[in-house]
Amino acid sequence: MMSIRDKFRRVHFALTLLQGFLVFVSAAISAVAKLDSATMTSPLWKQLTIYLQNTAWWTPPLCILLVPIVQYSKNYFGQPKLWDCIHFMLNDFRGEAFSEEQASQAFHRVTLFQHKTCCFSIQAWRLYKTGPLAGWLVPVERSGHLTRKCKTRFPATDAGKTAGVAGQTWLKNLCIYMENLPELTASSPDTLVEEYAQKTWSDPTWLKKELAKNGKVLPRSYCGIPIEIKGKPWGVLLFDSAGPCMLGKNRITKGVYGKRAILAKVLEKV
Amino acid sequence: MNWVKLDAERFSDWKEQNINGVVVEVAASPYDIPEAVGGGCVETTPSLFMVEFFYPTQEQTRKVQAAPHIEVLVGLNSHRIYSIQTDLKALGAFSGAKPKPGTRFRVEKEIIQAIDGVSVAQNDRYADRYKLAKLIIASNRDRLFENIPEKVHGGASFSI
Repeated sequence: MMSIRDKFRRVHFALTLLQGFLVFVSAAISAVAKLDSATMTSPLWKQLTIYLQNTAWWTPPLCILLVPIVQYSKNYFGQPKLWDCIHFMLNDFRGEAFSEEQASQAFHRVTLFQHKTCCFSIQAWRLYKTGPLAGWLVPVERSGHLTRKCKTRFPATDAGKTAGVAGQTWLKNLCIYMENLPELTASSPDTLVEEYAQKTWSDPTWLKKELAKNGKVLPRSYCGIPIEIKGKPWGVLLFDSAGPCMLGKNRITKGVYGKRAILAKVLEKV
Repeated sequence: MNWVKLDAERFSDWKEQNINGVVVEVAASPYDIPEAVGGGCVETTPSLFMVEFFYPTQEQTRKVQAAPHIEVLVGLNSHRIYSIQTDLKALGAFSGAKPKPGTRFRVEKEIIQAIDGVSVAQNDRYADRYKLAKLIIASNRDRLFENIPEKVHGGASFSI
């Protein structure tokens, strides 16, 4: 979702221009429809006027109909400025949570998961044996500029079926912190992978697939914070670090507590 | 109304909990901890005493009659307590125009009992949130119940 939205931003401005163009064309054709082509001296303008008058019964309505469709597609991914604001806030949380030594953005991250009814990931449906409309936690924004092509999805169903630290944070609606998870590599023994899976409520098969990806490093500590809007759970803010323990979980909560109201207000508009 | 700004970190202690066989540390959701708590008599009706919680996000609320003289506003979605309103006259907290001795303690006790009543009515599903509300009231009782005179000094009277 993040990488698609990043690409969509490039066309967002073009879509805005398209909307304006559609309105202009609709108004222009409506105005031309009222002209008397018989009084025109230029053959080119006369032919153009007659053509536009012949199509005036469907072109302005079509243009007007396209305007809200274009607006809907612009709104589908949310206003770019709002997501910029959220990204800025996540960077801020990351800066407060992780010390200067832990500077690598790929290994110390803050990810915002949103709870959505549907999930368009066949891989996730098969992995968790959960239907596409059962309720899912989907990553919608992340700190930094790396690891944005995230395909991770966790089930978060109405029946209480969840997976991962983000899923448990959603289910319990509590801040959850864990540290000193085993350090895993592609050649780690199955027992270690299963230990990690058990401690993070994950699937060992999925973990092995992740480890098989070149350069993939699994976090060794997590902190999940539930996010809500107007009293309703909205999603989860997940801090993860390749370090065995986050230097200060109290720094995380301090940072989030100070900005929880602003974050909720911004997310309301998304 | 006397408002007290709350330090969220003070109410967000990490404690160990076993979740599905995994021992982790948990703390309250940041949205369950109010930003401020206030206590005082309602301006338009001074015989009504109210304790109010101001949360980071606002939502629609519903009234719960916790007792004949106590009304509680509870969040529709979160079931958090937003305010507790006590009718001091109906409570019998006054002897004529003067407050009876121990009024503050009695009002506080009634409010705590009202919170317990709301919790039980919801099968203790949100017990942690109501426990937090009680803790906040207990931690700030001097300021919240300041407007209720504990005793009347010679010759003075409290008019409602």
